[in-house]
Amino acid sequence: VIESILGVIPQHLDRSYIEDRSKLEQFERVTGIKHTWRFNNGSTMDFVKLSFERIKESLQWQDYRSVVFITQSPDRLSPNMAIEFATWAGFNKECIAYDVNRACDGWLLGLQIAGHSPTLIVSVDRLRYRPNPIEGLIFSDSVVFTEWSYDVDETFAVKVKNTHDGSRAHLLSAGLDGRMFMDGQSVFEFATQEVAKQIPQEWVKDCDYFVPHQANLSMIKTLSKRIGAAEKTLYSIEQLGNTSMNSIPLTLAYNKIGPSKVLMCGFGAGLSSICYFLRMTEPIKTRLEYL
Amino acid sequence: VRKEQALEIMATLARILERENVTPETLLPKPHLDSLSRVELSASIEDVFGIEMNDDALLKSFKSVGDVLTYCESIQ
Repeated sequence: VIESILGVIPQHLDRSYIEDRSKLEQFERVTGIKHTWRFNNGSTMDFVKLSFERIKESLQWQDYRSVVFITQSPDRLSPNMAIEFATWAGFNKECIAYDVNRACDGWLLGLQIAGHSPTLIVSVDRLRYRPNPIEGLIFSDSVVFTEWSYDVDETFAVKVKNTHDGSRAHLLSAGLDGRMFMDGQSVFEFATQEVAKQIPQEWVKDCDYFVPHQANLSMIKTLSKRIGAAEKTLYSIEQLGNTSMNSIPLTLAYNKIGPSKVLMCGFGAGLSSICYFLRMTEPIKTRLEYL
Repeated sequence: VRKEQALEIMATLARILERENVTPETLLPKPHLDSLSRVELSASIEDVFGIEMNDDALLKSFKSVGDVLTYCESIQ
């Protein structure tokens, strides 16, 4: 059961330094992204700790069995980020604390990993894509804290479908220096054609809302139209940008939906995708905080 | 290609090229459209014709507006 989704958005990036205004207009038209958010005041761990200080009073409990720290932007290779964070936050020292490296479907993977344990999922990304100043505006930074519990009495249903194809890893990747490579057209085709075929049609028909990874507006609209979910699709791309793995939980928080059946679909580097069907009998407690 | 379909594709290309209007003879930027423009063009072709654009190399091969319209005729 997702108990709470607490999202933190950093500072707004001023776009006035962009000289090519017509290219910026095209970027906003194609991607739908009108705002970009960046944390430039320290490390990824600094960002997580500052965010935690801002929202910790909204956490519902602290006796977690696991802390799962999902990021593609760790400060180092070792030791892992989860142990430092869990200790700093004062959690039970016997809890299992580990990092997971996963891209835009990472949050949905975190829900699966949490399984039957009371878990805090910390998901954070600070992707830096620098082909040119404008296309770099696509990614925004964010932190999301997700509280997950397990209760056998809950009428809470989950169905999951995972896929991956490592032979195409080179199409969307980041090196240890943080530099990203993205073959935009190939990723667009993967999302709108292959992922569209992987989403079970019966899940589309059964859901109240479709929440895809907020990659860019053209991609989301093509995907949702292709699977027949255009009227059910929720968005946050215009306001929050592409926040990588956090775009799905932030879209849930942004739209504040009540008890309902939600089909979520994450896809990206790997290439991988996860379809996750969730029936919520209670509204999820959400909070969005701007630093 | 129906006239309104061709006009819609030409309107997309005019937007991409930042012109008031284009003709089949209007040349596309060399060596090819940039990635953002290719995504915008392929999304427009998919939307107008209801097909799946599969080939980035093909998108890169278009030299003029006429090439794009010829391709659209071939997929009908």
